[in-house]
Amino acid sequence: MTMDTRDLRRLIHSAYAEIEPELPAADPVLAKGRHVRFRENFVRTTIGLIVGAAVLAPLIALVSIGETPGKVQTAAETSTLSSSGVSVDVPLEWDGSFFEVSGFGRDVLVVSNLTLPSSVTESAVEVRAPLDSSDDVVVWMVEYVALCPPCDEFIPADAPPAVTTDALTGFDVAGGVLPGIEPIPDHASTRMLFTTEGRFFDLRVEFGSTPTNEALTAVNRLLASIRVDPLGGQGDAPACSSPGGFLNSSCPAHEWLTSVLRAGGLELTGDTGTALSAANAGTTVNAWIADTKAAVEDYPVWGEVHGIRVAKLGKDTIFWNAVTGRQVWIRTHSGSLSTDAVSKMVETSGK
Amino acid sequence: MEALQMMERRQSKAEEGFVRFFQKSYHRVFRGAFAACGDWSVAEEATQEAFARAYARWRRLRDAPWVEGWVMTTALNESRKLVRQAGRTRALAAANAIPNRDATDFTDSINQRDTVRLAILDLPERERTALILFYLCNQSTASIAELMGCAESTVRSHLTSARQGLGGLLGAKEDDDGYA
Repeated sequence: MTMDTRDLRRLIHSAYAEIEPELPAADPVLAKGRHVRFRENFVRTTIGLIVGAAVLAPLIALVSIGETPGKVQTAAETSTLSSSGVSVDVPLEWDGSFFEVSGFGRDVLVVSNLTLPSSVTESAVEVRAPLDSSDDVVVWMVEYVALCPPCDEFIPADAPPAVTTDALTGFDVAGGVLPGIEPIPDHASTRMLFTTEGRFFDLRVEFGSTPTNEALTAVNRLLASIRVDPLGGQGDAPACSSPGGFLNSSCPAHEWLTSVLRAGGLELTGDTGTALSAANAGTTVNAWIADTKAAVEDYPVWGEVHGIRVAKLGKDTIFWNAVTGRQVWIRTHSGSLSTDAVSKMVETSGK
Repeated sequence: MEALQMMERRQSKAEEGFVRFFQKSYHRVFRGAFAACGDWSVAEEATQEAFARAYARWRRLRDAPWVEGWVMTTALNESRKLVRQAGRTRALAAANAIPNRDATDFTDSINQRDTVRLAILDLPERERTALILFYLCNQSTASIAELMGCAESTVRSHLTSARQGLGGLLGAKEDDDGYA
């Protein structure tokens, strides 16, 4: 019997034609796949630690005997990203950017070891969704320029606190001030509210799954590199065309917002540097006009006034799109606003 | 909210994609693993391990044209490892190695199939791997070279030797031009 390639292929195929295993369920394979991923990451981390220790130990020894002071370079190559007095050292192989997002904060800083999309919504789901393994991470930080102060729940700190495995318990509702963020199954995440230099930050960190020590170290190195400068020019009257222009009493928007608050029975008491403060008896509020618009329809409904939808953020903040094209935000710090007061303010904001 | 739903859909789509691939390729990969070790349970274990590893890297593998070849090679390597670890000698492609086969059926066709499988099991490891990937899994010599981490000429050489090895039993002749 002689045969060519085709015949041999046919013969071999027919030799195994009766090999018909029962197709097993895919679920155990998927579960095993997740376990394999964990196992491989663990091995990689262990090797990294051993190699790292082997490399660093002699260097540290050299430094300690003073032979080569200042020559130890342990940090990865980074580039500095900065905006509005906030800067961070981003590893070269990572991606980072400041995105314009919501109506109550400054641009959102987003840094990830995955490639970032061209735009990001407030929940950063576009960046969080692709996180797959324990090495995949995104860090994003919102600065609240109107919502706070006062925000008593924010922890005073010179820099963001380091992330620990124990802290990775999810994005809880932040002190009742800010809403929670939809969790993604299997992801490990944490949220930290901190204040420094008179500024207020909501920092979130999320991993594709429980992170390796290596991934945690990389993130904590990144967090430690965040620097915050005090805002310059605070107290100066902002130009009418600038985002905080409504704080300037000579600007038309200031008068307009004041009249809206008065309609709700509130009188101006001052400003926080980022929002107007107003009060009536036991009720105190901060009010501001958004420079960028959050999508009202994406937030829970507080109520509807003359066809205008009023949304709520957390338990104390409401906002709506005024007919004039402005977006009004009001946060109650003490007491409460009656339905009637809100209705009158919404109505007035349409004039 | 909408974005989250989109993301969940994307995630479950990726998982669905893997499950479809698993269902479509399982039999072929299993056959390859079985051809390499001749042991049903080892082939089962190796195949499932290979798919699990593929799922662990699915984000990177899913669009690769050689993904099935990758799983197949992993299954082949895994089956060899399992055989070595267990100190098993190949149980061969005999009646008792294949579930549900009628053990009293000794027709010529069954004898011939067993002969082919035994002949393949007798080949040296690298030649056997190249032969299985080429003839049973229909991989090109270029793909096999990449998967086995060697030059394409080495793959051709393995295939020629494998054919020579089988030639004694099967009467196969050399046909270098037949390699894709």
